[in-house]
Amino acid sequence: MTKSGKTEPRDLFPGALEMMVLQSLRWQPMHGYALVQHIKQRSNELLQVEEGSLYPALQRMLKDGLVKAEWKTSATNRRVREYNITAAGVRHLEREKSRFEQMLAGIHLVLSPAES
Amino acid sequence: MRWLRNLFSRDKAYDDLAEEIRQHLEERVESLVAEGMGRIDAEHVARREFGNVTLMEERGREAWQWPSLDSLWPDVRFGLRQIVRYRAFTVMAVSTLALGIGANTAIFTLIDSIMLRPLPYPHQERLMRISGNFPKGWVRAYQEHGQSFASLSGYGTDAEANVEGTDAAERVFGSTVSVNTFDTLGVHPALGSFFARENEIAGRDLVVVLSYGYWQQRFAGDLHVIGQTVRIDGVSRKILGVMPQGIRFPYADTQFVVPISFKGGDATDAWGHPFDKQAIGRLKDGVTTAAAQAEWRRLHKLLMPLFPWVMPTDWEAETTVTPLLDSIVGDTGPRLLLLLGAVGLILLIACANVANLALARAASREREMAIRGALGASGWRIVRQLLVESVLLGLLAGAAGLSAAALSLRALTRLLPADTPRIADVGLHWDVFLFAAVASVLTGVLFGLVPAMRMASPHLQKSLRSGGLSVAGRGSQFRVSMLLVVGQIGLSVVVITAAGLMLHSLYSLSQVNPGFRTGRIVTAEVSLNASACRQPGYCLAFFQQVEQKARTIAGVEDAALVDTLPMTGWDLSYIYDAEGHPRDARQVAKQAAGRTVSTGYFETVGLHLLRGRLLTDSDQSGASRAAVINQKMAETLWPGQDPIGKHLESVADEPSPGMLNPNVASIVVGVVSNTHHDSLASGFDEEVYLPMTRDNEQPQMMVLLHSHLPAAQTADGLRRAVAEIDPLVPVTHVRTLDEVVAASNSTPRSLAILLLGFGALAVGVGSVGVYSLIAYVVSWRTREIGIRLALGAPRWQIVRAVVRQSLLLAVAGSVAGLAGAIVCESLLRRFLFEVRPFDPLTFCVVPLLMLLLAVVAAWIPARRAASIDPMVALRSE
Repeated sequence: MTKSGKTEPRDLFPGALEMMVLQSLRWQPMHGYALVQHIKQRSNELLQVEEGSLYPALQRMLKDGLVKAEWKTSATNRRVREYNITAAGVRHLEREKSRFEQMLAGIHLVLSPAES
Repeated sequence: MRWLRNLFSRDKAYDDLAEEIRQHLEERVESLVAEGMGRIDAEHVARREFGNVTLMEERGREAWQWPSLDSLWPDVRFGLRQIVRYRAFTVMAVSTLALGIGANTAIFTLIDSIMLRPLPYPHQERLMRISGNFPKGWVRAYQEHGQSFASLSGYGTDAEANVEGTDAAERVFGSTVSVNTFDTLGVHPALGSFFARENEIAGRDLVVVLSYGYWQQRFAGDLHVIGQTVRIDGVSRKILGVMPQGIRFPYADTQFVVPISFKGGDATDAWGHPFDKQAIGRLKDGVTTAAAQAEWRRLHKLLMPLFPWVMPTDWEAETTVTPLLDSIVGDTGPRLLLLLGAVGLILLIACANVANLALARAASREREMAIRGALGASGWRIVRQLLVESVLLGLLAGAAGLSAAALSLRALTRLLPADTPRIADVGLHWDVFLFAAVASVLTGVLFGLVPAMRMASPHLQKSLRSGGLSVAGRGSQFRVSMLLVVGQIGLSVVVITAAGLMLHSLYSLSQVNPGFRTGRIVTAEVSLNASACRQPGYCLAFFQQVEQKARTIAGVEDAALVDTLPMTGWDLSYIYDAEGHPRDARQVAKQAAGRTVSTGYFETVGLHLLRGRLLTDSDQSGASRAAVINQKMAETLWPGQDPIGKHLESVADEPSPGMLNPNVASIVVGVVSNTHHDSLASGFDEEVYLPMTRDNEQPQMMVLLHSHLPAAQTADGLRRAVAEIDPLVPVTHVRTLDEVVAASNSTPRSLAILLLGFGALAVGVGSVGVYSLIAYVVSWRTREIGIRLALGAPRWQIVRAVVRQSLLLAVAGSVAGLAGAIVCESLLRRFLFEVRPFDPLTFCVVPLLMLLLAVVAAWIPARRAASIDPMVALRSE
């Protein structure tokens, strides 16, 4: 499957964006713009994070204590708000990942041709 | 507490977010410029990619909010603007709902003050009343042997006593109590101290504790009152202390208490004293009411052999242990709940009414809602907006209703019978405010829901968006409105039926002949000190003198004496054995109402002699041992036999149960007609009339004066006459016998008056509902009526059509209401007197009233419809 300009991008399922954000932040603290770029690159441009969803999601995670944010000056001398994953965020991520894998396994089983 | 911190740090979070987004866009623009795009194009692209910044900021903020609460504030502001804007609607809705909420709040205040508020004693829920009457020795026995109660006390019945001041004596209610009573209650004196243990010993018991009210009233709150002496019934008692304010024990009327005292063997003697003590106790921790009751009954059984007589075997089974509060509230509770039911229905009627008004108003707000819908407001969003509005209206009405309830509370308590428990404590407490607030919000939701759902219905939205003219109201809108009006009429029918049944019952009660003459008879109590009769013959001579002098008072045709008036609840029990009815030792003795009377009593109150003779002056010597009984007693004891010459004996005079001593027993000399002696609603009871003799002389007697002069004048004459004999003897309780009988009806009367008031309220609100619906239907049909008139329909036909519609609503409502009324009648039954099931009178009159009302309510709109000018009507749209 390649990205096509003609097919509408699929909506992510609820929680997917959060998982990806948390996983990215686990790798290294980032600001919003970097997060968008990072996810785009890591998914070989298969996934396009909409900024419109990212910021509300970040605010929710801030409120729930999964991430914390701090104003910093970036390498390009820009004032950016850098997000960091918290311990609660790590726990949340692990839990969500295992739930996601279970779901994925289930979907696989259903979608794969029945063995006769 | 994080939410609290969030609340204050929110503004900073919002600013951070805005800044962050600005930086984000900037970064994107720069990267696009780096890729070779022009700056302006890059900005456009970045913005397009990013989407709606404002929306996103908003959604980002939502994370920090309680979404419902925060977005509620604009709704509230908007709602308030609507309330101001639609002033006429606001006034109508608020006043209608205020009536409903006010009535509910008022009744709830009564329920709260009487039934729900704890008594003013610490851990009052552990205070129990033990029903039954006990001799004072028994209370002592239980104090020593019982395990269930941490503290147990006895108290006597409330009785009046003469308290002597400098000029004249006054009659004051007092009670006897165990010396530990205040420990049991857990209260401390406002002044001085309460009884000490030693005050229980006869000789050291000449002390008294005053109620706070009496201390204020009689001694003007004098702090030096402690240690002073007062003469109570001729006995000097030292004032030990004053009860705290608000403590009314044992009875609401009690102004002072004196100790129950014992001498020598009294304490262990369970017998030999009248069974006139009640008991209260404070349960030990962990002991249940049921366990205490079981123990009390067990102890009863164990104590029984101590009695010189064999006691009835199931005697202890009547004893129950009841929480003091429950026992004080008694049967007032169900009556108050009945009233609450009635006002609850009124509130429902008011809600239906306002819902209809709101539906009618909906027409004028169609466009507003359509625009909101078109702009993307969801159905839920519109419902919420409208509910906020209606809840605001409900709260306004609640504030108005609460004020009205507070203002009417005094009038309301005056409507209640004077003997309503805890009536002096009725007042607004914080839970009343809570009740009013909850009722207001619920009311707002209740009346707001139907119009809100309708306005938000997709059907309405769609048809409005299609741009048509006013289409709301076609068919279905009126269906809902009509259902609401039918519901209102139905509920009104239920309330007035209840009022009607109560009135009918009251009427039946007023038609009951009490059995004695009541017209033009003034009664008053003349009271010697309790100890006056210790000197044999003194009391008898005194009252004979009073009677003689009373006959000479100007305007008095007849005078007589009796120890207790009928229908005052103060009947004395004559517990007796009768000839031919030997009592099994295990049975309870027979009981009749006993009255000691002067010989003129029968004639003065108009009792008819049926057999034998009446009492004569010669019977007052005691030698004849004559007694007169009533018809009911004669028929019960000696059916088909001649009761004259039969023997009766008070068990107090018997050496052992069932042993009638013909040399001491009274002899029946006459039979007189029956009287109702308890209340008009109860049947006839057995009654015994004994002459005043030296053996049964009493310090207090009621004087009856048959006079053709006004009662006040007659009473003044009596006061002067008594003062001539002894100026220190008080004359109190001046009433006419008519008033006595009326007072015995005060409970059903107050219930009927309140229900009638609520019924009128229901009808008032209900007819406004019918009127406004019909008026609205007519205004909506203006065009159609215009066409009809233009086509030549006669005007009376238009009137008929409008009135018919109203009548149909009334018929449907009445049918629904009667079904409800049948249910309500079975609930009411216990309060009714001689009203047959499905009382035909009430069940015919009420629907007729509703039909009449429907015609009246439809009349003005019908006239308006008929006066429509066809040309104007047709041009109007």
